Amino acid sequence: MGGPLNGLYNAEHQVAGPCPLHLSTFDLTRHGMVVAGHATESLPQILLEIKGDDIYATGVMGLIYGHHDNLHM
Amino acid sequence: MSSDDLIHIEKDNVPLPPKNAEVFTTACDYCITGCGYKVFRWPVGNDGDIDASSNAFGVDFPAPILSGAWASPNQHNIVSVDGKAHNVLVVADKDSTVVNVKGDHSIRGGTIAKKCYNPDSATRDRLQYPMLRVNGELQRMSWDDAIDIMAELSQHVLDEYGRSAWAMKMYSYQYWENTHALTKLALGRMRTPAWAVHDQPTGHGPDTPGMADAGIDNFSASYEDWSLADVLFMSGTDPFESKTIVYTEWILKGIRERGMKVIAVVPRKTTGVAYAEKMGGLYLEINPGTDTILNYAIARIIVENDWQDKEFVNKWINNRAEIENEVFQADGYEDFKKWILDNKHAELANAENITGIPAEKITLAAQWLAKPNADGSRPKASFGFEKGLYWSNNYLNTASISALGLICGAGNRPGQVISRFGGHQRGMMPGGRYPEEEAPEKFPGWRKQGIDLDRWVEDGRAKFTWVIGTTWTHAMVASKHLIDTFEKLTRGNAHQVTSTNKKDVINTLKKRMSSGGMVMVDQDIYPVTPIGTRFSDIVLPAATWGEEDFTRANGERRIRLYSKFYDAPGEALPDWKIAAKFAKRMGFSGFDWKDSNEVFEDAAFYNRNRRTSYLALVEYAKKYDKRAHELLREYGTEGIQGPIRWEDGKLVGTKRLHDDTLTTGTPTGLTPINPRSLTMFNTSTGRANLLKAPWELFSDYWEFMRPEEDELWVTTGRINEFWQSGFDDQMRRPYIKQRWPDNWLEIHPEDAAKRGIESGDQLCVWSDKIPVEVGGYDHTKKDRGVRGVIPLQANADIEEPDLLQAVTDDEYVTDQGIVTDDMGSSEIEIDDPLLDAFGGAETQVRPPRPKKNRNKPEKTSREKIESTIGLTWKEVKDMTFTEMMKNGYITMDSASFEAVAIVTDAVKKGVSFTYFNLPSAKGATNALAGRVLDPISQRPRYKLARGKVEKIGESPYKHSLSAMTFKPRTII
Repeated sequence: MGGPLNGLYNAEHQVAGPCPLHLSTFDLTRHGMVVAGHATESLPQILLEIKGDDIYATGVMGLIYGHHDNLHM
Repeated sequence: MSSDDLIHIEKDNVPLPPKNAEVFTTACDYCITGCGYKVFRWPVGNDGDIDASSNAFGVDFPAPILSGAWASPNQHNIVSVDGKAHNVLVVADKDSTVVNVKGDHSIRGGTIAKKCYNPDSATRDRLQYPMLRVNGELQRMSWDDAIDIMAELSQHVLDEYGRSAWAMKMYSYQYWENTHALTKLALGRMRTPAWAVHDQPTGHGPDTPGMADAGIDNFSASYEDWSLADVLFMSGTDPFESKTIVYTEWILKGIRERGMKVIAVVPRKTTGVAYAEKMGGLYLEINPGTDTILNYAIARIIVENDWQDKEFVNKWINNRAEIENEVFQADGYEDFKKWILDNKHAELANAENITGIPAEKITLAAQWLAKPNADGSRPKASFGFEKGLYWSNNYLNTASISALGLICGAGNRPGQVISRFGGHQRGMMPGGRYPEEEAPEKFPGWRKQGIDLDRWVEDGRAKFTWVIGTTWTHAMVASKHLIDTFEKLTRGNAHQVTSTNKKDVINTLKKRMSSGGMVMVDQDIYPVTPIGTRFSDIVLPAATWGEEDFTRANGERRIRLYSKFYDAPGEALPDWKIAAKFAKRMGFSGFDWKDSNEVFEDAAFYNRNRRTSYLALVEYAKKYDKRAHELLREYGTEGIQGPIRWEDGKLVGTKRLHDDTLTTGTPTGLTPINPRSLTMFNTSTGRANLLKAPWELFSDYWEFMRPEEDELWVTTGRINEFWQSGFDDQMRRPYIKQRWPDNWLEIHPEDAAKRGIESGDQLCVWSDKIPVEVGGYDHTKKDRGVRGVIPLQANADIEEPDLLQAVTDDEYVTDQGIVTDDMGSSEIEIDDPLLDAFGGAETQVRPPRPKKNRNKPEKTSREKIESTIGLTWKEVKDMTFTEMMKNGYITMDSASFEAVAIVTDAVKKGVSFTYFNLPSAKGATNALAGRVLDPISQRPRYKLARGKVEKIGESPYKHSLSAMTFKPRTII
């Protein structure tokens, strides 16, 4: 639905949420899978690659909310 | 399967609907809430684009948050429309102002597009053709042959064994057109009493009988009412889990905007309970099955303190029992007061001991619900409940919650209601009256009971059974016992079909019947294990949601059209059409419908006085030369709430029943729709009854089911992510299957530590003390004591003249305006004037009230029933669990199931919790629940099971990073 999860990381359980609107939570140790709640997809994930001391963001898994195609802006 | 096989990576794009995409309205197929949805459909290859003028959402992409103008890949599918590939997006209606306001949705409905048949998805195993089991394997056959065989065998059953040997087991909810046609066939034409709905072994009587006896319709509330109370008593459910949008749009609104305090009565804390508690609510962690004790303990505190709503009680409570010698009814408030103050079970100390809830919490609940405010005003209290309450102890729990609610002044005003929250949507549309005169059982002083179909089958009395849209086995208590029964009667019989020759098939199956076996037909959308995959001789493919125009009501009686928007697979047909094919082949009249609208219009009269009455809509449509379905389509996702009335020239919906604040207009239609329940309670006086329910009738069973030594309660319930949708979601939707790949068992950390159990371990849960009720259909004197009244002709011969049926056929119904009796999951009890006239209305036959003798010595607790609720102990003694055990009516079975451990303090110590019905799991969880029905109402006690829990190894999910999560559901 696009509810904001900024600043809602629960460090104890490594969970994002709960969403302030309808209480959805997401497991960040399981590919952003919904723990409880409403989301129709897992949280999109950024693919990271490590080369030496640098970390590169190389892709996105899952569709980013609001878009119909991650590559079509 | 390795857990890595379940890794599900979503697509990163979804096509946009073009401006000219077709739009259909529908509602979700799953839970009671019935959220409104829109379907956008367009041919593949004709997509819209990101600017607002190029897509049907009318917004520029990226779409803003919470705009509702966005679809995720799980909301998209490709379907066949007249054989051509089309895209569909199924999204919650962002324009909705009711139910799911602004397009709110659950995870289940949110992903419902994936339900549509698509051979490139896990839906590819949809049933597409009729099939016959030959040499143990199902093979395709024609519709004509399938119907021929079924009809020949059915006629044989009627001729040789009588109509009660022809059985039907069907869902009660999957759309009015289907349930009307199926019940018209089974009850109206076959006239069999061997008929039951998916969640109970009998098809007769109300699901929540205590509500019915109190005079309260259990779907009287509107969703808005759940936001309008000061205090909401929420019993036997967390609506966040099982009717999610009722919680997030309505209960949450009450909590956030009005400071509504929630009292949650469940043995397990989930998201909605945790949030309510955080916001100042109260969590009453109840031991399974003890709600009657809790409800009456709270009521007693209220009575002791004189906190009852006096004005309401004076105006709306019957001041004497409605019917002379009525059982359970109090003779008014004063009688109830005396009874409850004398009731030892309702004492606070006893309640604390039995329910496991601290006394101070029980007292606080009573204060919140009823203690007048300092200024003399009263708190507005509402009472919502669901299966944790009424599927653990049916009559007593529903009677006690109705009494508690009524003395608090709830039941008939905005924000002061007593209702079920609901499970599945309300899809039963009766097409015939349950032939209760053919049913053999009865509770003294109460209603005639329907046949317990599970026991009837086990007793060898059903020869032909037709199963429609239910697992039957896994959905019922003592599931394994039932599976063993079916195995013996079908595959275990010597007579198996080995040829496709129709004559040979029929002869073989007739021999099956005459040798003590049973023929089974399964009609469903998927192969169902084991009823379809193993036991059934014929399997028929059904069409479902989206594949036909259907109608149904949700939990606030809101009626919508569920539009057809794509082709059913193969030769699958809607159930109404299959019923009609069979009925016509049997020579029955009244099934010549051309489409589902004709079924809908036909059914309206049968339904005219029920809570979902829509006869006014049909009459209004006719006046304006419309078809009723098309008129309803104009109401879109908003629909209209039943009973629908035609007043002052317009159709008017009904927000709540028993509404003391409702003003009705002048009736315009041909048939005035003004049932008493609009503004009064469902009783002859219009006032409600306080009920006195005796714990003694249940206590011995509860004591027996209580865990011993190292056992735990093994209670069952729902989970947000796939409740009501397991056959789609958990089994066939990769996104959900990744979340819940297998069954699980929640267990308290202390109980887990004792058994060396950690989250992710594979568990075996088992019991060898599962009581199963058997026998009682032989009409012996002993049977009569256990089963109440048994007519001599329980298995009546069809050739016997039936005067009653002669006057209740369709023609008479139409001419005389006779209302069909209610049944199944439809709870309004309607007296049948014809039955009265013929002396067949068992509900009116009351035993004489026992005389009180105050000079006798102190009676035992059980004997006291005699003087308090209008029953003699002698009348009911044989029906108690203890006596049934003594007299050989109970057999003990054993069963087990496997589950993945989730160690969490969300579940109460001593209680474990698992999903109630997971056909894909290893073993049925309901197998551990005893098949000992409530002797009053014949409803099952699903929630009461006990068992031993043992670790048998580690599940593949214990160390997986891709499937299943063990994080708490209570992070709020």
